[in-house]
Amino acid sequence: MRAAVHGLIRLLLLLLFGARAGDPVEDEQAVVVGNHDTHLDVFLLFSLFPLRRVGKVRAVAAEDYFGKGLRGLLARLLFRTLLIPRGSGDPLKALEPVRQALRRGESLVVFPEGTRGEPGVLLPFKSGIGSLMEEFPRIPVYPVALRGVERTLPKGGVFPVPFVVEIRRLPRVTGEEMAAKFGPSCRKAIAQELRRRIAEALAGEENPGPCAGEDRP
Amino acid sequence: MKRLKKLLLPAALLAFAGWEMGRRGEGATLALLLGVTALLLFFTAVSALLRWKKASLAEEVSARTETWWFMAAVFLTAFATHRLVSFLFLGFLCFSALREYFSLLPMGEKAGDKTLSFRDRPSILLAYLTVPASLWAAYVRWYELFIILVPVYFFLLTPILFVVQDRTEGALRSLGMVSLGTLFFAFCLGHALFLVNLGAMVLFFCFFLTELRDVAAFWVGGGLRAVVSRLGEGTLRRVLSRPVAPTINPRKTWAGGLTTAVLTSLLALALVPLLPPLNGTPVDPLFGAAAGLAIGVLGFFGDLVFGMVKRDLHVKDTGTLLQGHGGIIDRVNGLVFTVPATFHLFYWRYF
Repeated sequence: MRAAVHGLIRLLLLLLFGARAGDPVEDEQAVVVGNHDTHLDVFLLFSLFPLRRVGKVRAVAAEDYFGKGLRGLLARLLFRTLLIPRGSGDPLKALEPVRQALRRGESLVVFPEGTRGEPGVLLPFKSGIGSLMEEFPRIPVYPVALRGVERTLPKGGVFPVPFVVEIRRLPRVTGEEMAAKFGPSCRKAIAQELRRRIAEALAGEENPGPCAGEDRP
Repeated sequence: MKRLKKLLLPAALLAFAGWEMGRRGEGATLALLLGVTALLLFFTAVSALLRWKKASLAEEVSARTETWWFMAAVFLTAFATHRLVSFLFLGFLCFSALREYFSLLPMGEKAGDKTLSFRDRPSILLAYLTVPASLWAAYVRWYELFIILVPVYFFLLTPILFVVQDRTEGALRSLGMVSLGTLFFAFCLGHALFLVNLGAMVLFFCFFLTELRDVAAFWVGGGLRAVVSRLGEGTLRRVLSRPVAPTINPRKTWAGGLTTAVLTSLLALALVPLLPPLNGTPVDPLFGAAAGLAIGVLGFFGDLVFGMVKRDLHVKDTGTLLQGHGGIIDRVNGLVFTVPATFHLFYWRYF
């Protein structure tokens, strides 16, 4: 049932936004990390997982926003949301449900910016993703740049408007590699590194190179 | 082998379309389909030969031919099924081109350095909605509505929307950008929707000639350059290598454009026997050749017009959707100009 709904959503994403997950995440368990601008982002990141594994993927969401009401119910049904409190003052405790899910072998969709923010602005990443990667050094993490998405449904927008959206999956990283690079206990540096890679892919040229007019057969 | 596997789906679609056309006794469309398939096979053989000889063009020509297989197969299948499917296909084509246009324009809040504002989103949504509205008007053959929908009512509704939004800064520019794209892709390209009503063969005539003109322009351009490089300095060389708009595209010359237009006209002449009698009148070969010439000339300028748009926006292609071709606008830029003209020529002469 969930797979069928997600299949339908993917078809809509393709028809309306031309969004295709070019290279899906093939790992049994993985964490997908993306920039956050709109309510569409979570749909786009979920489309990176093969349909048969969609039931083992969970989205990490803010408790104050997704904890109640119709929005909360829909999010729970579609994305099996893991709710964490924002600004509780105790980040380690707040992440406990996320840790449990990773121990159960579930995959995650995470937006380390923590909020949608201004359209097209990449906020600093919260360090929680860094501590998760230190704790689970073998689980592959995929940074993903969602390009063009801020125009479709910016914060405060009512209707999604079709624009071309590109899902650019970046090469995988693991906590092990990060530890080798930054040493132990560097959760802030890890979060910054993930952010840097996504920011780079977001700024990257869509059509590289200058143009000297070409004919095409 | 991998390359052949990719062609399995388009080949199956083409076979299905051909079978459907044969079953319904549409001899002319079937002949066209066979012609298209023959051309595709020819270019597949050429690209195989180029790869075998390790020519520099090999990869490019191969990728483009593969995408051509897909585009031709999807297009012909859409027209081999229900009438509504052809409309939905053409509507989706207009929508995709329009979406690509709006996605090309940078969007930002600071006036001055960006082209579109986030406050243009409602007008852009309205622009998209003109596509299903035009589709419906064309489907029920309501020409009077179809022809005023975008250039009058969409055009007037957008500034009203801007006023309700209480906009000042950059309003004129946003208004221009939004209207321009909608006129190009929902209205001009959207004429394809009404063109279906004149007969699928008339639409094929226009699409086939426009796209073939594009392909021919590539080879004619190359051929002319080869000829010019062998000529000595002189008037003939200057005339033959005179570009139309050197800053937009130094390789598009008057000579190349005219030669391709004449070739398109000759090809149109060859296609005339396939056209069914329109409103009881068989199509005049001379008229067919004239329409072909119009398609040849307008397709040439369509190419240059969107070249200009791309240079202004500093992009090489309008997208990455069609492998080897760039984006959808790169593929339909000629059609934006040839479709309305073909429609008017045929409508004026035979309806």
